[in-house]
Amino acid sequence: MRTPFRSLLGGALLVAGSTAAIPVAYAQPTPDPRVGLKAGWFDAGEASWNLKLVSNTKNSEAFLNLSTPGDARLKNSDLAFSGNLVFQGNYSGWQVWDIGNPRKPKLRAAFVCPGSQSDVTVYGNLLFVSAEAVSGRVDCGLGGVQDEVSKDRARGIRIIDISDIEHPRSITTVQTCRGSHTNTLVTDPKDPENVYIYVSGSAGVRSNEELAGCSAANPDIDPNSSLFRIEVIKVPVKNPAAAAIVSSPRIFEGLGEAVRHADAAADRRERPAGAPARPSVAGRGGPTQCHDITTYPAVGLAGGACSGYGILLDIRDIKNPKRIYAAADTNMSAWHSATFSNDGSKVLFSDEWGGGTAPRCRATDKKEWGADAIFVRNGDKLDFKSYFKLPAAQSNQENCVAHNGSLIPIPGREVMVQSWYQGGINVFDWTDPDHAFEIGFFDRGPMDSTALVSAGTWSAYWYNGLIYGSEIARGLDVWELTPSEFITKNELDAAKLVKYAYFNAQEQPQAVWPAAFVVARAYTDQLARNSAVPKAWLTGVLAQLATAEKANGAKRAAALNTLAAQLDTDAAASPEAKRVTALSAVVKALAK
Amino acid sequence: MSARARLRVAVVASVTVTASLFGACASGSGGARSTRPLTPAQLAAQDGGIPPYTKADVAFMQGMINHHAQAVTMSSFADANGATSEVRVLAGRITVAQTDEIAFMKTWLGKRKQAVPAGDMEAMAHAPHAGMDMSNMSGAGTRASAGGMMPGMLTTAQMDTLKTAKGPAFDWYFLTFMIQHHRGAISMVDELMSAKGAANDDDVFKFVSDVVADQSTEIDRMELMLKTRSRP
Repeated sequence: MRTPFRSLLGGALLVAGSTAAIPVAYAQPTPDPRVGLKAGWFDAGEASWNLKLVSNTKNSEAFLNLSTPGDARLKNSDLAFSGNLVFQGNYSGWQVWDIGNPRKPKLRAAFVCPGSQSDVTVYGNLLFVSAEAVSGRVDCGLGGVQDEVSKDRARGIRIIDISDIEHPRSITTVQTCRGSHTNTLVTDPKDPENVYIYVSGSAGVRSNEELAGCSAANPDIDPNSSLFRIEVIKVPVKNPAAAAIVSSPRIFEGLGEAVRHADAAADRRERPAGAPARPSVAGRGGPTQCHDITTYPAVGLAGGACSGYGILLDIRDIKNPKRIYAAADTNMSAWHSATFSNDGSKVLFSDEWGGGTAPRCRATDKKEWGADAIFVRNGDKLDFKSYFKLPAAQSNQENCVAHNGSLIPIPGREVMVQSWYQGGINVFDWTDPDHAFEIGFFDRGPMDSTALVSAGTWSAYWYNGLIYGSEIARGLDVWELTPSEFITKNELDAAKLVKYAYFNAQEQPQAVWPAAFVVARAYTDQLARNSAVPKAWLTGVLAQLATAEKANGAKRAAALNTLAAQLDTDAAASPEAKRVTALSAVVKALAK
Repeated sequence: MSARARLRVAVVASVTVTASLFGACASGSGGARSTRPLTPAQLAAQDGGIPPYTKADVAFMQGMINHHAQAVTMSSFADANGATSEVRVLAGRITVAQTDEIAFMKTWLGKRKQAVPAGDMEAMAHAPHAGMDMSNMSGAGTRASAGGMMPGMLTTAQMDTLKTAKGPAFDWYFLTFMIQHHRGAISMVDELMSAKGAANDDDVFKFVSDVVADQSTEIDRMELMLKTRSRP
């Protein structure tokens, strides 16, 4: 049967114009409203574009010292999500928010337990909290630990039973030599009895008098050195008290090869696993540790952001991650986090140059410093493509550098939300790894117009339809992404169909979209935006979809199967083959 | 306790907060224990937002300002002395990073009403240690002696060598001296961390951890860069 759609195929598709996969014009508001915002704590000026602030909720009273803006002991850190609960780390403990009504998040509980930076992950009834500072106490008490060697000190992973959210119970603290700056929860479908925690610590090694076996010596002097490794903790879900370190993979050992290039594009060094290791040098500095390790179990890989390297790990054997590849780049300093594209073919690494306390987004700061670097996987290698940085210059009073974010599950695109401390948050598209561009933002003015007071968004993550941000000094933010020329309502509605029971950003879940007409329309909207297929062809596809949606039962299935078959045929000739094939897959799923 | 402070405590007490996982084990520094332990915010309000710190913390910040200032001066020679672009990129980063860190340290000291060193090389040239020949000093693991230089700092002779070296020679001296300089900074952190009660202030802990992470990464990078260069 010849449909109007088919009749349009006589060559029209083949001569369709541009192969551009992204809009050409990235028009942003001019002048940029983020520049020159009024300073203030809870009354700072705000600017937004394609993002709407749904709510801002101040810290619990326990963590709010109104006499000192930005008190360093009361900084909020990372977020973890479970059902309607958001867990927010704080340098002095953590808070739990009920986000059943995101317009009015409700404080469920706040728990005092100093020991920065309290990055959190959650699994079932267990909360895992990173403790790194020398002031953290096993008993969660205030006042720090004065003695250099003390049995009271907690550096490692605190494991908390949260089955009664208002009455958490400390189960154990797994002590590690360097403490835990961050942690990654890793699950294994083949091993439901246990969960695993990858522990990254970047602080100094403690004395072996405090924790037996700790050693700050180089591995050539002491093979059991605490440097050049991460710790893997195994947590039996039914008996978490038995949690213990099961391996300490030395995933950075032997890294190093001469830097031979100077400028951005060529300035990379690459070293496949197995190449001869450089002799170790007495007194050698780094890299001795990782910051974030983002595991992506769906593809069996992890991205490690490790000192001067972005490394790719094979994690199919969770207890024994193995380095496959390491990329370095002299424009990158403190590799901080990794985010995979949904299909795992690309990786974005962020560089938190200076640790997040300095203003690195000034007009004088280079756009490739303190930014994101986007890589494409080429077999077991990583090919550098481009840098992306918050495009609005910030003031001297705003700490700003690349920090945590996550993908927004829009089918067919890499759209991401990211935090930039007092640079605010932004949403950007890195579908084309050579041309990332901003499509939305929210920003507040500095805490103080005359001095840099640390604050801003520590992390911003998409969770079940909204964006949640941990504001270091201003509590919990919730934003809604609004439709624009860059993101249609269909694309947003499709993203909202992806629901997670729980979410820890560093164990990246793969987005899978249910069969839904809105998912198909998200793809057709992208084809329309990209102008890569003839309008008439697209009109035909939309008409077919509309007809099928109105039909029922066998009629609907038949109409969808016909459309799918046509799409499969057309895909081969289309400059948007991948997207047309993805559309076909949705249509096929709808026919079932 | 002022009326205002009493009111604040009353407000805090009305909020559902479990102040400790382990009951009333937390107490303020020197305050009388009440049935309800202080929250971190109450404790912080008592000390005016200045967490407890030690003399070692203060001495470290004061010393590190001058230490950083020398690194900034060293980096300022790169462009004029014909460094390769690779070294200029590195020098540019060191300038930005350590200038920002000097500002942070000055703020930290100023808030605590401690002496804030100027952190400029002019002032340091007249300091007692100037002119001492410390060229045999490796930097790493060397502790500052009374009136002596801080670990890793360049002697006047080394500084003069760097200032006058050109092209490939400049690269070599810059990398060699900056590795020495960075290792010295790391040993200053090590020394601080071995002092009783040091770095319990979260700002200090975060700062020294970042210094070690950033500078050890740069040492690694500089060692690699040095491998392809020969001594002038």
